[in-house]
Amino acid sequence: MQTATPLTFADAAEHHLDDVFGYLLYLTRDRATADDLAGATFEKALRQWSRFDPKRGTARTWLLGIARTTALDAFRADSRRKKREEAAAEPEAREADFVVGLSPALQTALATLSAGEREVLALRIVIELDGDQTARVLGFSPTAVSTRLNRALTKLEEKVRNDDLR
Amino acid sequence: MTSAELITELHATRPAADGALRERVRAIAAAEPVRRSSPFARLSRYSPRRFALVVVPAMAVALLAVAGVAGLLGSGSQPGVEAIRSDLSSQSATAPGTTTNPTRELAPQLKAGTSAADAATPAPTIGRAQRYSAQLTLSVKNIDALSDATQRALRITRDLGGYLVTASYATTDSGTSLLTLKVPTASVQQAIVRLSDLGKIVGQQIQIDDLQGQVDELTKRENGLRLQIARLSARLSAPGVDAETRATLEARRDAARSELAKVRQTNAQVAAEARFATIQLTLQTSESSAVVPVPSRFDNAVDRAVEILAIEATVVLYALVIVGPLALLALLVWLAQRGLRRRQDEHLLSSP
Repeated sequence: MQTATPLTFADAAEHHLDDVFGYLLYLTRDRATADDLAGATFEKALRQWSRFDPKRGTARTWLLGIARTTALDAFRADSRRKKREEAAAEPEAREADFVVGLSPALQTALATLSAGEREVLALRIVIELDGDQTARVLGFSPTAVSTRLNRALTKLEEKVRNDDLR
Repeated sequence: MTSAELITELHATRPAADGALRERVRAIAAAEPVRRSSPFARLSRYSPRRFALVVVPAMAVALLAVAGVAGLLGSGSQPGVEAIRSDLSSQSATAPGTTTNPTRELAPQLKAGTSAADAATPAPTIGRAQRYSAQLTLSVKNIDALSDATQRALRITRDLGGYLVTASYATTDSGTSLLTLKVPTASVQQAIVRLSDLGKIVGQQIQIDDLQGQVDELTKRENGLRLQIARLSARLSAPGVDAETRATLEARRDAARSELAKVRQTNAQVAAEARFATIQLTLQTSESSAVVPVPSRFDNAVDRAVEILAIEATVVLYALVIVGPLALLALLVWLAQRGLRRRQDEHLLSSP
């Protein structure tokens, strides 16, 4: 669903906060982290708001792009921190039910996907961006987005089926 | 569970931000500054690619405009043009229709303004037959002076025992008088000095060809033929010459006589050529020598604009040569960093 381009930053933030948060939640699988990153995203977006050009894309894709950059910067900083603390080998505990209302089987299956696969699912299915918009946010070609989405869905389906069989 | 069911469930459980986050974001948004539509803010929205698409043609147009405006401003009277014009006029003072051949020049050309007294006019060698040719170009003030100088040139020629061969006198706004004069070679130096006084010397060429060798050869041939004729006549007058021999000897004597006549004629021509020097005198008014096409204002503007464009092109080329490799290096570094960053991102996103 395409939202009309808001005129003010406050409007844009109000309209697209759920999209940004949802994307970050799927990416991080942690509500607290997604919450922090969403706040950081809007702070960064406010600083760059004067550079936003509605002719080049919607506010939603622009905000999601900033959210992705913010998340990746955080991942990078986190990775460096882990390396320094030599704790990289220990997997960080994530919330088992990071999305409220999802079946446990789907929650578990989602946890087995890579962050890259989850972000495509979030953008294309949960937030309902089209292929071109998703490609713009991720910096891939639309074909690559489609390929990654199919792979993620297939993987997810298999995981859920295997879980049901058990 | 099928893919369709998965999608339905994922979509149905779309996450929403909680109230605390929403309030925090509202607080952030409340700090939004008033968005002023300043030109700089508008410019900052353009990507470097779009910026380059506008800036590069704009720069090209600006450079062309600068060249055009500078060309128009500098198209008036240019300093030095008058000086160049007068210099050209003094250099191109040869009358229309006359040509000078520097390779034939023996004597040094006199510079404009040199007085006749100072003229280092080479003299013919006494006792040797020589063909003496001189070309003298003089500038006079106006048409009245031209007429007077022409009359005086003819008088000088007659006084020195010479004569006029050809004359061409033409006047319109300016005037030119072309005279071919024959002057006794013995008096040629005096003639040139006196003729030079008729105006300002703007050109002089003197050529001397030695004819003495040719004269000596012809004289020797003439003497040989005379001797041959005398011998033949002697044999013919001797007794006992049969008819056939007589006929042969008479034919040979007639041929020798005929050849002698030709040699004598040629010798006389050469001697006459050596006796009289040829002076080609060109008299012209100053105005006629000053006729140099004056470039129009438009031509000046175009010339000036082209000059400035050439300078601009040189500067741009230098800048490209110097900045180009650095820009290429920067681009390569940027591309490498971008690629590395993408790989890092992929790596970061590859884990669950």
